[in-house]
Amino acid sequence: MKRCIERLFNGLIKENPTFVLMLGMCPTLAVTTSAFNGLGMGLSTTAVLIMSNLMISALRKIIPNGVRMPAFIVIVASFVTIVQLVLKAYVPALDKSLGVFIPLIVVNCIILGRAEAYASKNPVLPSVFDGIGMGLGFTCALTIIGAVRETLGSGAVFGYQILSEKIFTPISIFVLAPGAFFVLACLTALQNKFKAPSATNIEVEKLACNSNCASCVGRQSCINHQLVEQQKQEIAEKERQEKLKRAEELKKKVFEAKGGNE
Amino acid sequence: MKSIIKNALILTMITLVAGTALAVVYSITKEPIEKSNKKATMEAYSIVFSDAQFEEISLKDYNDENNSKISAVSKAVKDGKAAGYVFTTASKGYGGDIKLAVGIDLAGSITGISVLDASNETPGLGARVQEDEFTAQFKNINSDTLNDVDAISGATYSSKGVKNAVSASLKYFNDNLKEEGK
Amino acid sequence: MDILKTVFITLISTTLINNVVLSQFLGLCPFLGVSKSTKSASGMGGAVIFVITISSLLASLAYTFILKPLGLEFLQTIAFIVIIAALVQFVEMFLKKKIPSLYTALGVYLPLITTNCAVLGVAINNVTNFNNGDYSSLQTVLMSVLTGFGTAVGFAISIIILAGIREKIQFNDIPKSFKGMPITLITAGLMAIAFFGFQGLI
Repeated sequence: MKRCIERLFNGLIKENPTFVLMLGMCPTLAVTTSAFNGLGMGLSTTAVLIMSNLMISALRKIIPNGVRMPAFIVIVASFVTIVQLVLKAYVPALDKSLGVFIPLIVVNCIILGRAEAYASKNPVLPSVFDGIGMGLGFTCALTIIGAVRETLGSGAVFGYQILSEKIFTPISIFVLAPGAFFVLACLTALQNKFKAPSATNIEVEKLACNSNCASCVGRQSCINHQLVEQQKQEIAEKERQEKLKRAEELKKKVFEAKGGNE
Repeated sequence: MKSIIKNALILTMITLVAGTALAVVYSITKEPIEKSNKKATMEAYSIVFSDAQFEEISLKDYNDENNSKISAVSKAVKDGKAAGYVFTTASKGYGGDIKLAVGIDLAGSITGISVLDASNETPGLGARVQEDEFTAQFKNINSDTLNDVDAISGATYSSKGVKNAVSASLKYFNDNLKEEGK
Repeated sequence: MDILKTVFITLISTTLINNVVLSQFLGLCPFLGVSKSTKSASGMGGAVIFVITISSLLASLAYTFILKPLGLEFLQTIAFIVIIAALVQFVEMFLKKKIPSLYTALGVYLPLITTNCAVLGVAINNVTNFNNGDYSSLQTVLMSVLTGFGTAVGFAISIIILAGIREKIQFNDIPKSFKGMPITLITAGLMAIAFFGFQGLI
């Protein structure tokens, strides 16, 4: 059970697919025009991710290594179609506003990435929780970005007006295409500023995929994971040493002060 | 060689199972999908023409100048008498087609419009054509006063799309249905 | 004359007005990833033009002549992704054997294209846009190919422009936290604003 909870935490915070791993950028930018769309896209992706992780992990001993990728793609594509049909039948409004991005969940690198990196090597239950964690991490990220863009762009969140038009003139550019780029740019800049570990502030040459998440599946995504992990450790190590240094300096000072008194 | 056959067999099995599963889900959701489409249209119809029954009538050829498309016309019947017509029409907005239902009474003025689909418009800008504030303006407008409708600021294309669709419906009514109604 | 007009309008609207990257957000990953130098950007652009044009032909053929008559429209996502993956493999093998010079120019970028969502996105968009009864089967296929080609050219144009700008600003004095990805995203945002200017073209 401990392992399952660890997977949830891992997906939500430690390896958040959007903020840390920088995967699945197309839906992140395209559908986050409002918090509701972000939430809807996140939950649809989560549903596909959980089901495909479950199925792939259950079949991991049957699928031969040679036809691994095509098999994964077929499985993922069928789950995506199922989700699309269900949305069409019961939540038609969401299906309409997400449009082509529902079928495009198939090529979302998060899904194939998780299938390859985790589900194909681990038992069913942890894989399902890995799917839930990653999916929720993605959902949270999309909802947050959507909420920011909606607030700045139309003064509302989830369609409820929170900033009255009298005191705040909506900056419409934020719900249009360029706004998506600007919000994400500021976000990554903040990450760089605070040196938060993320795929973007590792030097591009080092990343196995040349920072191209389209090719970032399988072994490459594992290598990238390792790089991110390594950098996290390096930063932690640096911080620890700085702390030690500071403590020593403090000791010295205290000692000198004491010595002066004596 | 043997492994190739084995691989191919397993892959075929997976594809077959996936295909069958999809067919099952498709047949289950087919009815709800149709129902929800129909329900949305009917709801929009009863917004533009309250307390009326709708009978679909056949569509004639029509000319349009603004690339608007009329996909269905229904006769609205109130208390056994024809009260007007409802059009399902679409016209190009900012990101794609905007689809709406337009109600026109026998005198040729609009009883109301309701947007069926503006999902290609930008939320917070073009998508505001769905709000009552904008659609209410069309009430009691006829082909002479259509220019009085104010566009939403910052959403010129979407507003123009709605206006084009309404004007196509009005034109169709004036050309084909006005005489019949009298 | 009418045909010429349709062709021209379709090309303008797919390449400039509804630019695949800057207004539809498809194929962002290679757009941001492979735009470090104009050379690699034009390689990627060329490979994308090649693959999208052929894949939209195959996808629309498969849809209009196989899936639709059999009532299997719901299998489109699976069918398209399999077609694209197979096509990319096939193109790679073909170029390697028959046209090695083209292979050396485009080869490295081909495998990256399978998961480029622009390819699948264009195929799906074509199917939804051209199968509403306004077009005959043949017209559907021709329009799909034309749209595919235009979209891919739009992708090539924007990735080459971005690469050009990135080469220019490489040695500029940029605030430290904006170096790398953030400044690229801001550049892309400004380009998207510039592309808004094409909106009134038709």
